[in-house]
Amino acid sequence: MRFKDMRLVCLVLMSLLVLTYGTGWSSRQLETNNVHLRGSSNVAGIAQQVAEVYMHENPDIAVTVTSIGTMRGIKSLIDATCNVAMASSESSDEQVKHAKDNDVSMTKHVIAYDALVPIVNPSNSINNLSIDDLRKVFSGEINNWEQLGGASQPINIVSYDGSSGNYETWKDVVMREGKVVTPTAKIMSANDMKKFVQQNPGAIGYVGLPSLDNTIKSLTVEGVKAEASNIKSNTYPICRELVLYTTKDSRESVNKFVEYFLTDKGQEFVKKAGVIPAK
Amino acid sequence: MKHIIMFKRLAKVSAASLLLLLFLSVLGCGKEAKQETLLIAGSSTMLPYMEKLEEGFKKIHPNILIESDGGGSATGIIAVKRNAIDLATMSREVKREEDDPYIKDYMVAKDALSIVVHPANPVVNINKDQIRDIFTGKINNWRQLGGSDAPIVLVGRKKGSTTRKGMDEMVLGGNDFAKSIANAESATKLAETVAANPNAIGYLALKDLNNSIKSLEINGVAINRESILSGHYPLSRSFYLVIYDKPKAGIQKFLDFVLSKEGQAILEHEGLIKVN
Repeated sequence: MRFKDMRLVCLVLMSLLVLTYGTGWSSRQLETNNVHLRGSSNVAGIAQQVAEVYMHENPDIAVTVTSIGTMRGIKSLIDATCNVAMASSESSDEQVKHAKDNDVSMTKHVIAYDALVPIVNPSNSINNLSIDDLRKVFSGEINNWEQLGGASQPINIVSYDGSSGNYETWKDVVMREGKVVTPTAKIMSANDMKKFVQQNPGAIGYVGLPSLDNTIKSLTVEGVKAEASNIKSNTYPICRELVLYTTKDSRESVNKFVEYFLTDKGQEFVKKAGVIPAK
Repeated sequence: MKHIIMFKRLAKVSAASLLLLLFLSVLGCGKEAKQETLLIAGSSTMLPYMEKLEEGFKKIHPNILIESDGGGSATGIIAVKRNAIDLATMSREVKREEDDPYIKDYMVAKDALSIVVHPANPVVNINKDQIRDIFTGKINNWRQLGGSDAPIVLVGRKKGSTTRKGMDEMVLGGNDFAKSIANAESATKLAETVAANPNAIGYLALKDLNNSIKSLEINGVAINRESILSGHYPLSRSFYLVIYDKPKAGIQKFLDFVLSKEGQAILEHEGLIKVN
């Protein structure tokens, strides 16, 4: 009798064990070696190149790169729909709150330094603007190039949507003190902005270093040119970091990919993209 | 003696309580085992892939019934936000204006198309606009693309083919295929036709490529697994499953299945590129 009871107890315990195992199994299937990046298009261009070389060296790993803007990249990291957020501005208060609410603590990896540069049409005679000038132009207070010593020509402002890291940096460094970019500004992507500025004599916009070329004219700010030495020394006024965020509990394979960015090989791609390597 | 009786009793009681526990847990499972219906809608492009996934899912979870429909990615995300469906399928990224803090979008696969020609064709690279103009008939001679003076022979796929749908959505942008196009029964037939004609051009999924045909670079990017996953190759897109707020237990199971080895293998078999 006692023996039978014990056998029954064993059987029951075993079935319970099987039951618990059965339910825990499905979530473990998601633990793979793959790496998914989402966020800033400024970082995505570099990340795509690094991802391709990395996958070539590690053929069993999939690395996907999706460009959806800094803020949504961080949201996605918090939601665990990606493993790495690409950012070109400090994460906003709202995102930090969202992270705290979800018990997510993020680790920041600086991969490069970049600058935002005001761009105008090549026919524009203006060469330099102060931060104050830029704020007045982008808030709509100044609306003709004549007011800045240029030709009599209305100013056409081009900016980015609110989820863009470019906009976020511009708001923090240039607009400040509650000033916002005028609602009359045209909103577009960096590529479209360049085309628009190239075609419109009165236009002004702002792009990161990788987007600069001779189809548009870049301005100095406070008399300082946006070049490597001035950005490294922080003398150029509108500098920023290009960043990869991971979560504190991220997988080994995710950390390995992020570390690869900071190797000589990874930093080569940073240089090629036209931004300043972090190392 | 008393001790032995006590022990026996204790053993009986513990056995009984464990039995009760087992009974309760079976009852709990029974609750789960009760038929659950999941409503899925969205991208009509993803419908044929979803059907294959559902077949595989049914084998593991016979008590979860899935009803899926198309309607389009935009309709899908509205429906999932309004709680009218449990899961939305999207063949593109969620737009900024569609996004909100309760949306979670899981990338489940990549889709890509290769533009293929005869290996002897001197043309190496074309851009997306040129592909559209070729398949609508606006460009009809290889000379216009830097090739030899020879008419372009278009090879396509019959209606209902997923690659044809992909061309429609990623390249043609509302325009019709040229009337002169010869539509092949299968990917294999299309590859054979292109391999046999130096002036032919067609489209294939990555898995159907072979050495008898040549893939063209698009905007300078060659098609391969790396360039598709990185998002660099222009003729590619991502497929997403989108949930809103806290989904039903069945939805979590379905998501787990799609992202599992098994689910990813089903998508790969259907010509997509797995991401997990």
